[in-house]
Amino acid sequence: MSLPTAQAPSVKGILASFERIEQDMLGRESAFERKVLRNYLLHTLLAVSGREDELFSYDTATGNPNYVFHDTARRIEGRAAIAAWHREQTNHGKAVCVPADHRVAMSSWGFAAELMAEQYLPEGKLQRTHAAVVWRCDESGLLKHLHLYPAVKHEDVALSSPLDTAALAARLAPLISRLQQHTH
Amino acid sequence: MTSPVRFAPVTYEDIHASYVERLKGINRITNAHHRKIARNYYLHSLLEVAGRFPEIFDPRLTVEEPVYVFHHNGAMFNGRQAVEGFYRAMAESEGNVIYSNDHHFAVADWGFTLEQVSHFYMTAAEYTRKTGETVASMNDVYVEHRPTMRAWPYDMAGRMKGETLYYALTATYSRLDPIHALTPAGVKDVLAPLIDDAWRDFLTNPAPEAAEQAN
Repeated sequence: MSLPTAQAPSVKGILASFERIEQDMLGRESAFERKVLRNYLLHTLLAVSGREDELFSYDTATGNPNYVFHDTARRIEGRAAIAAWHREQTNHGKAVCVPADHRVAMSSWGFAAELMAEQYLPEGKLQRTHAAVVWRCDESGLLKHLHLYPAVKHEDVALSSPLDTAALAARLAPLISRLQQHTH
Repeated sequence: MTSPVRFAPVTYEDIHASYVERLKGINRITNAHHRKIARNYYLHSLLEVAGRFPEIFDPRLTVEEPVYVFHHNGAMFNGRQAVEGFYRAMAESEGNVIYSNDHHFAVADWGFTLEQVSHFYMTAAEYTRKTGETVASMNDVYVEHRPTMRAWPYDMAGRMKGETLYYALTATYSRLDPIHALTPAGVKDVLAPLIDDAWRDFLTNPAPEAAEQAN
């Protein structure tokens, strides 16, 4: 069965998805909420850019964060295991997962968001999946637990060409720099 | 498949206390629109668990044609008739006896999110039907423990537009002695006073938009 063919992947469009989250962050009155969103966005951008070695270099997480994938019940415990999982994603060409149509609700424990996860896969495939993400923090806004709830259904799209991940990483780098310097 | 998790059987009073605790949190919300959404959800949840689902469709609570999307199994209930059918099936199977804890609630202008652990009470027969496991006694009670997440949208009058649900795809189970059974009728009775209060609160605290029109 042939997949529906979409346009060429757009580095500009991916950047715009992340910049919308940055705008949401900058528009918030609460310093805590700005810090939480900064940490989430920076963490996500480093992962998407294949910079997993820097994942915990910028004061975004507690000492022992964990991930829980609620579709498989898989748990990833601790910084080293999380970085290793992201490295594996990068090595398999699966690191670029863009939170599109991002809808956030925040509280003192962190935030939850519903989004369309657009994951770019090797050989020009794009997988679009509704998902919910729960980002639980400590009182300083540092990540403690990341819970992921992907929908069982997803849409596969054939792109006209593979995403240029190096070009994307270069395009995202200035946003990462802004977030590194962000002082809440 | 019974669970290694330690689940202390809950009582009707525990269910009542759980809602009272949640209401305290809702009453601390300072944004009037957000508080309206939270009060709406609180009342909705009470009505659902009490089996009084027809009241959920009151036009002050819910839009005329809500849409429910269950992302964990791909089901969709589009419009009032389909959603009513969903609730009716739940009530007929006595699937509405649900306790929850570990609530992580957040509210925004568009609606709210809530992650919690849901504890679904079921008969031994229902447990066998769901899991394929055999049971020692058909009189025993089983409880399914499952992390669940939801993101429900609301309109600017604070009316629910639909439910979007994401359940963990794996669950654990506990077996309880029959003495710990909770019945739909018992839950309905214990929640009735809270529902009366919640209706009164909801109707006397209009959304900002409605309040502006009244002035």
